[in-house]
Amino acid sequence: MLNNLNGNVMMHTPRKDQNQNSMRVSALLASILLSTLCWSIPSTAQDLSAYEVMQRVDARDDGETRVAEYTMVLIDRRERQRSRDLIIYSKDFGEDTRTLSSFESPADIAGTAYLNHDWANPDRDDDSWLYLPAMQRVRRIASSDTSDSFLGSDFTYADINGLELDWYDYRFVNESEVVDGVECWVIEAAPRQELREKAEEATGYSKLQIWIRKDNFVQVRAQAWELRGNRMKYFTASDIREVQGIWTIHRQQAITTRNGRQEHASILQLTAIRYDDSLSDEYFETEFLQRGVN
Amino acid sequence: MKGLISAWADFVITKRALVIAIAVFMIPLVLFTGGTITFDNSTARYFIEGDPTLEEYDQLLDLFGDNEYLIIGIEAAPQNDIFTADALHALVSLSDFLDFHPSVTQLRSLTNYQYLSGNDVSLSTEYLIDDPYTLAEDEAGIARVREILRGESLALGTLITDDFRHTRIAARVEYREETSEHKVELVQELYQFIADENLDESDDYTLHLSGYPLVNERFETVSAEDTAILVPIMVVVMLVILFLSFRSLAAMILPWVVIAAGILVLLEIQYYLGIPHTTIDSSALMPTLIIIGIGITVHVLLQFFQSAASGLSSTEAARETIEHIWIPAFFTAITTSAGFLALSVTRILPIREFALLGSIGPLLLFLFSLTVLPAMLSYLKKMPASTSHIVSAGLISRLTQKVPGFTLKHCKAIMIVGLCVIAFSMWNLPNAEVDNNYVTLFKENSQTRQDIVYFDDVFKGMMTLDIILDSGEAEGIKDPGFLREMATLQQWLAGHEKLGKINSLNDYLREINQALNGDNPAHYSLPTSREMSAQFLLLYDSAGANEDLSDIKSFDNRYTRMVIPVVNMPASEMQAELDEISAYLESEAAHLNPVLTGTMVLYTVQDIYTAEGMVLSFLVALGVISLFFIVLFRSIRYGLLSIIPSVMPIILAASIAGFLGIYLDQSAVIVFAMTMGIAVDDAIHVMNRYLSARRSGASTEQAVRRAMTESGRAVVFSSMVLVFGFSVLCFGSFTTVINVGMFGSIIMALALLGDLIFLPAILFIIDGKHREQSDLQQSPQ
Repeated sequence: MLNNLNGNVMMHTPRKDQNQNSMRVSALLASILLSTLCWSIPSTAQDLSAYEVMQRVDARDDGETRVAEYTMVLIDRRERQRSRDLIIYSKDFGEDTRTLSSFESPADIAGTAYLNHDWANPDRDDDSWLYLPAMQRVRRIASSDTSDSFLGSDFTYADINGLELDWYDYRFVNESEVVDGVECWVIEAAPRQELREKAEEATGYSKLQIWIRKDNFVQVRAQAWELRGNRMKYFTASDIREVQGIWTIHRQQAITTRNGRQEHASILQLTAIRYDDSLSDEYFETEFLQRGVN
Repeated sequence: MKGLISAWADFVITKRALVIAIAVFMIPLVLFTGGTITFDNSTARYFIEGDPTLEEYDQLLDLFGDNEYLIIGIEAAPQNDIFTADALHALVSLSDFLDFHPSVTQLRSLTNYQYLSGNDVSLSTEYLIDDPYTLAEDEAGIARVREILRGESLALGTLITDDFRHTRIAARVEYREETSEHKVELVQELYQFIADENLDESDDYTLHLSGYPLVNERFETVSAEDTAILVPIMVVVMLVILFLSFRSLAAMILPWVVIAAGILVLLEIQYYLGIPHTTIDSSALMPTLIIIGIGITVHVLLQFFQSAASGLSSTEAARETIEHIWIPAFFTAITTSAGFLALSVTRILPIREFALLGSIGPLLLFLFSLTVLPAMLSYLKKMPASTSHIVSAGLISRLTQKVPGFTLKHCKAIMIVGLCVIAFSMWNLPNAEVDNNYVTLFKENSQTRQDIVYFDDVFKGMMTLDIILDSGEAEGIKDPGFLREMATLQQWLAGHEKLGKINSLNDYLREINQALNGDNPAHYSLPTSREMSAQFLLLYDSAGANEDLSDIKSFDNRYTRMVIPVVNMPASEMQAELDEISAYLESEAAHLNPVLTGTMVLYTVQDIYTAEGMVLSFLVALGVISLFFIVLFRSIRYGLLSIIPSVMPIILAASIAGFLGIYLDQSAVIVFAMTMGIAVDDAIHVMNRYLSARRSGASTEQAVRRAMTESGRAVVFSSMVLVFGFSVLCFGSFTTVINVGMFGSIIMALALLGDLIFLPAILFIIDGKHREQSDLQQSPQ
């Protein structure tokens, strides 16, 4: 969901589910990296429906594997900042995606890691584990908590892991709005009536509005209405460049407001990324969490 | 001085049309210029910039965010707990209302309470209530909630009582430095919501509303309502007194022109000085100005009618009025002004501002009383016969003529009685207790007060103390040693009967530890390493908590705080409690660099400032006014003699308050300094006439009789105005206003007795009953 939400930010590669015929927003990295833009821009871009635009967004290539290094900057209501460094490994397993996020610094949380298995089947909940080095034990995280904060940031696991494309109805709010000098579609995503409860539980949002660049189908902006506490989230993506031929967002920001006042904000600053590296499947097993990435 | 007064009188009478035109032009000018004066009763307003207490509170806000909570308690009927359909409906509705209100920045309620749960392999953060809207129909769900709550130490005692009969919703309200209007709106909208949803009409539960924002709203709203009621009552009372005093339509109407002009110009000055309204000025200033205004104008009217009755034309009578009244009126304005100004010695900003405005008010009223009023009076064609009769031969007039004879005859007895009263006052004065308790500001039967008592009984108070603990370095609160010392402090605080349950960072860390260890109570313990603390906190932040821990730990993890509920008690007891905590912090927890602050500390410090200010402002008023008297009468002896009838009533009133066990609080500070300034007015009139007569060669008896004849009626009339005017304030809603009314009217009545009986008796004894004093003839006014 976040994918959509964050716009490109959390973009993921869309896939067609064999049985469900539903589009699944891809994996974490994808999302976070938001990265890829798929193919070329169709000459008929102006004729696409809102749903088709979202399909194109989902249909971007983000590589088979991704290793991304991030600095996560946490910002409080008075703009005070502190930062953490983390590495996110991600790999496609057929239609499924597995992601390992591991903190590098500060020292007291180094080695803390989060593992996620994101299943293509929309009826199957994700599997997630958390490893706290100080406890030296792996804990499984309840699958219903996808709307929880992703590693203490303003992004949620749902933002990172992506949303179910077919759980939403899409409509153009504005078919042409210029953002940072680039023409965008503005699309509203509202949960389908019959899936509302499910979508809301998974994301914690009642609806979303997304800005998609027309030139490369990257989401550059999004806003989400939270279900609780009169809160809004504002996502922006910037410093979008091609890396290994894949459109990659280097800076993603999420701001949480309550009653129009900033509660806190987070920035994910991409410092390095490699696509399509050889990445052992072991990285994505719970035993690996304890052994450590390094 | 005579030249000035003569020129003043000349100008007012010869240019009377111009004087009136200026006044007529000025009123609409003032009305349509300037702007709206804001209402700011915020916490910061009560402290002068740079006050260390405020700086510590600002640090609390800076580190941990908003600190004021609106609290709703839901009390189940005796036979139930709160898990009935009606009570749950109220809980959900009120929580939703607050959660989505623009002024609420955090909500703690059973409806959004989350608990950590785990076993050997998994960990989850779950809402206590899955679906608040359907829980009432879900018996199994309710049973599950009850079961979970029994083990939730973070909820028991703070969100819900052990017997599940009481629950509490706490909404953290946005703190804005320069206004409190949003809090007023929030509370009023809450009242409206409760009424619209009929949430206060169930037999299954009772609602209780409290918290700092609510108390704030009550002060502001009820003050405004009081003003809306008290001012009209006061106007009616004053009209009745004016009618009874003069039986003249002009005398009933014209004083209001003076008062209206005075108030309007004062409001204009307030606007341009950038002084916002607070509960202090909004409830007390306007009634006080009305009282003072009527007091001054009565003297002017009486002199005018007396002069007119002696056969002068209206213009001549108006001129004579100015010439006779100017000096005493000017000095009464100055002394009243000085009484207000003496309040400036307090360290409470709204009282200082009240002092400034209050000191300007009497001077404006003097200005208009000695210009516009005589100018308008000079146009009166003919004095009504009834006015003439009542002024020269009415009951008051007859009374004041008989008083000198009585005092002359019984002067020794009066002195003895007076000395006894003084002796009693001085002996009993030490019993007067300077104290304060914000609860007692509300009448005993008020809902607000009853709800405060409810929260004291059930949740150990709705106000809090806060202790900020500083680890000395960023991320330092994760140090196990620091956490252990904090635990020791928390344990010590838990032993205090008047302090409520504390939920500290340690409690959260223990909960996480237990959850990570399969909910095993044996692991309800603190982290053993800095890394463990850091990872627990990261886990909590990542675990989907609806509300983060930003209100108990600083963003850089250097500071943490303990929020300690505290039951209501008088300021002196609270001070003792704070002293004990401070002593412990200093001796046992100094290396945690503790700072004791919070809303209750602010209240208590205000009370300390009040107590300090009371004696000082009284002494300053006494000193300044005595000095004026000495200058005015050009005599130390008569200056000091005149002050006695004005000061003794105040000391007696304080003494009586002590005798009756009534606290002398913030209202007493105001009333004592203020009334001294007003009470001396009559003494000025009496002594001024007395000395004037003496200096023209009259004997003591002749001078006393002349003073009584010339000023006694005005003194009685104006005292009636003051006594009845102040007594109207007894209809107020707050005990502060009631006390101002009660003490004010008692002091004014006693001052009248002092001026009419005690002062002449002293003069008879000191100056000799019939002696003429030639030396006074040498130094006329």
